[in-house]
Amino acid sequence: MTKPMNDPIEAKVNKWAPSDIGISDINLQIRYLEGKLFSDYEPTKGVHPDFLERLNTWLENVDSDEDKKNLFRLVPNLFFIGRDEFDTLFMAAYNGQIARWISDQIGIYFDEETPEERLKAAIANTWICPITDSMRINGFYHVNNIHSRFNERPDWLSLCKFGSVEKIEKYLKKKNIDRIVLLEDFISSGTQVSKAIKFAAELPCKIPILVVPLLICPKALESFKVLECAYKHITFSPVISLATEIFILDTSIPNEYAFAPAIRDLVVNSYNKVVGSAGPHDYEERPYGPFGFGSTGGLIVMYSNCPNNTLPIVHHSSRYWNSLFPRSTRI
Amino acid sequence: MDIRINPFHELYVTETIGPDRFVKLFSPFLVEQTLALFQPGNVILKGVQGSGKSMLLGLLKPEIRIAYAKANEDFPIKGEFSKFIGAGINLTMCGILDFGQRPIITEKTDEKEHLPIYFGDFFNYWIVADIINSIEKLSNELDGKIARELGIITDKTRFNEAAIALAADDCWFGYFEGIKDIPSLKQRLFERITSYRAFLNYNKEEIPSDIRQTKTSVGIPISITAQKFREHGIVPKDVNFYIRIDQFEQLGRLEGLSSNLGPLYKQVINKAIGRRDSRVSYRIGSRRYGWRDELRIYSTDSSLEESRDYKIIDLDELLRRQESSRGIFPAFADDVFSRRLMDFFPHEKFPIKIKNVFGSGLTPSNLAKKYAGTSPRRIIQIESSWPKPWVDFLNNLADNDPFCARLAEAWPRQLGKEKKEVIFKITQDRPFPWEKQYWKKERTYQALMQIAGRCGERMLWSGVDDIISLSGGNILAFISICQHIWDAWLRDMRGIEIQNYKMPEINPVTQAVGIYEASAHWYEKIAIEAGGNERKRFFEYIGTMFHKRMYEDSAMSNPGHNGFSLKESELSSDNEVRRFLDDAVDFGDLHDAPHTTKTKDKAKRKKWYLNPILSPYFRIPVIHTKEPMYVNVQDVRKWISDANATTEGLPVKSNTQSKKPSNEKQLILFPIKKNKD
Repeated sequence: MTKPMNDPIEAKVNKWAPSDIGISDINLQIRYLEGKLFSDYEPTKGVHPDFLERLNTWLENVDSDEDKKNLFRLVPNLFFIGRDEFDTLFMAAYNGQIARWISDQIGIYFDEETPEERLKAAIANTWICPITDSMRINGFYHVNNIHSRFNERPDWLSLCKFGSVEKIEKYLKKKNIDRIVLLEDFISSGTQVSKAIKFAAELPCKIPILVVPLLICPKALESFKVLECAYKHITFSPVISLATEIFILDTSIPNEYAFAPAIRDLVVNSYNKVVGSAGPHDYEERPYGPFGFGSTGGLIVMYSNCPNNTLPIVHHSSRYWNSLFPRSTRI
Repeated sequence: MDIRINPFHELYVTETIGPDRFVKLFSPFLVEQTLALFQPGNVILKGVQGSGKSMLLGLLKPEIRIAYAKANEDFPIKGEFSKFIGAGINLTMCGILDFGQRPIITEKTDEKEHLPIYFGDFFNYWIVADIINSIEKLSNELDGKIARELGIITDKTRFNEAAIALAADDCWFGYFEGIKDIPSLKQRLFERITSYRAFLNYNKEEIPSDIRQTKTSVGIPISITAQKFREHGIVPKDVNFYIRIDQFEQLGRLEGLSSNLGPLYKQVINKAIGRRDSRVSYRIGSRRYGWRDELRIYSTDSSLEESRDYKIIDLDELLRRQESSRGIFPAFADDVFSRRLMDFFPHEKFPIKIKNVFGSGLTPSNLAKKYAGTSPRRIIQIESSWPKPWVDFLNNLADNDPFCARLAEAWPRQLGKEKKEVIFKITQDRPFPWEKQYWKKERTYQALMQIAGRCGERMLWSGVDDIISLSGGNILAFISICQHIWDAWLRDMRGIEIQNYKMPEINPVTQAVGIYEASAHWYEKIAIEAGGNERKRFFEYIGTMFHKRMYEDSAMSNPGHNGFSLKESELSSDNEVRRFLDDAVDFGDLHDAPHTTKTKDKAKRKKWYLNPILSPYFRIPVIHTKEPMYVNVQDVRKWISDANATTEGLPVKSNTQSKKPSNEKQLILFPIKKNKD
């Protein structure tokens, strides 16, 4: 009489639609985001199945229609940051956080006649470096059209492990560097980057330092406040501070997403499958817990990779679980 | 051509497409119905968004006529009707709406007094420039083939003499002094338009004094231009000048400094129309709400009168299905459909019918079986008082023919002793009593809606008839439905090789997905228009109410309760409700029609239905059958109030209606809440 739909996702949506009025809209949103953002996920470039195929296998990880629908509803709520979004963040950081901080540093006032020239000169003496190698510092320089006189832009996590304080101080002096800006694309808990920041803060010259995370999770923000108190010459100024409500935490919080309770149950109940466990002591690799690293419960996916504090159901693969945005470990 | 591109992706084909594409896409179906557009006399072409106004007005443009000739296609306007020169203005695109964005302050006059004059002056200059432009285009392109057909003669001397005579006319108040030929006349026209634009965009300190001192009276220079070109033998006497004014409704949308000027600007254009000047005829394209209230003629106490000053062509009325016939829309839609697909399927034989791609849809019987799935007995609701043989009969019937079973279940619930007796006198002979032609026909869609609901299924809309019905006579709605179906089909074909250039036959399930998405999209876009949020809340309220009533009507006694009816006399006594409903009709969200009452008082009534494309969203039948809900104006007032569909809350009046007639000129839609006591 009538043929069913060919596409497995369309078939699912069509089956759910009579009892779930908003599901067709979600489907269209996902299709839109797939075209604009999701298909640009770098770790799946090449021989990987495309996003929609991964989406279907991801939905098939769970058995009940209700769980499938919950996973489906989660997709448009993932905070996917694409290339264009990062470019915008680069520009926002440079024209906002960095420009304001330098203006304060050198005391630029509104009524000055040539503030741009002074600002330009001050920027020329500012060393802008990444904190870790995940921050694409070249892109930052290109997007903002910065002509730097510094050829070296080391990541400070490597520097704190392999660098020499004396050599760094010598370099600062030789190049007449007045201040340092440390950039990071995404900071979840701050554990890793704190080492690098402390290292920079404890340089004997006490050079002024601005730390600019493009995106920062609430937990990291807390720990940076402590650092800011401890080191008066350090300023933290994130571009986007993510609100607690957009995370799926292990316990309910006020104003959380309406779908959070269902996802909370789902991540806990499916955790064994996610880690590939057939029993209590059988697992392949534990991705820090059902809510990801530091139990953050993040929903962030970057075009370059998925952070480890995002819910493992999104990025972790095992023999029993296919991920939606497979995380490439240590990129 | 990439087969995975949606041929309906581009919803609008108006000013944005070039003349060559216009020739391919324009469907001439409406020309015969709108011939008044191509005859002398002023014409208002009104219709909701996407009804095809701009396409029809486009035929008046010389470049479109030239494009037809270049493509070796017949110009859709034939014979005597084709003897015209078109010139015009698109109010949105020409910059005329900028009047008011910068104050024009002089010491002696109030700005409001002279802004409309400047508006009219700009209008005159723009149109005159476009008339010359049109004559030149027709004369120069294709070696003057079209000009020759029309009898236009533009030898240099004659044209320049006409320019000198035109420039010397008093209507310009000396602005064209020293003009010696057409190029210098055009240059001067251009300078004036540019000066206005420069001033309005703050690129000039003030309007130059030679402009301030030579403001023209709206319409007169346009008529003089036509007259001079005729007198000098450039344009023959039997060739008419048609002046297009498109996007007229934009005058009602001016904001900021200009917000009070819209009505005045309308009055200025009314003045040009009201001159009843046989030398030129105006064609105004407007959405419904744009041509309604303001008929006054600028700086006079007269108003325009329909039939005497202008004719109205109502495209919506023309295209909407009449109760007695399907009208011209199905054939029009078929033609539009075929033209859209032509470029994408070069190896197919055209014309392609909608039916070739979308089929005829499922029969009610098959639809019911589809909804019922493997548990057909769930489609009937048994009453505890019914005898077992009747219950068994219904169950067996449901197993084989669920649609018939649903009708059977409703039959004894209806009024009438005879009907109730079927449960005791069960017949096996067909046709069953509930299969009587009209009784069944009137209840088919309500029955299907109920079966879908009882089975937890979404109503499955598909096939040419459903698509045409849901389009409601609006070609934009039709294309939008096709676009969403095609999108759904492309999504569904992901990973499957699509045979190049072969016309698809899209299955009903995929069509239903696309149709639902189109419906939801149209529901969402209600809010875009002025007052749309309030209307959207109202439709949500009544749409849900219609669904609930029709779904719960297990006797199927009221299959027409997807609409409502009011006495016209009652409506005219409540200006606010009337205005609210008129707005909804003018924006195309409600469809209205007069209807014959079945009540004893024989009072004149009017009925309203939701725009058909919203039916899938609200899960209500699209067909208008039997009697709509008979309500009074207080009920509608209460719906509006309950739906919070007003900005200040429409108060529910007491049942005792004021006998005092409402003031027709009062434009306040929702006054501040009055004290109840």
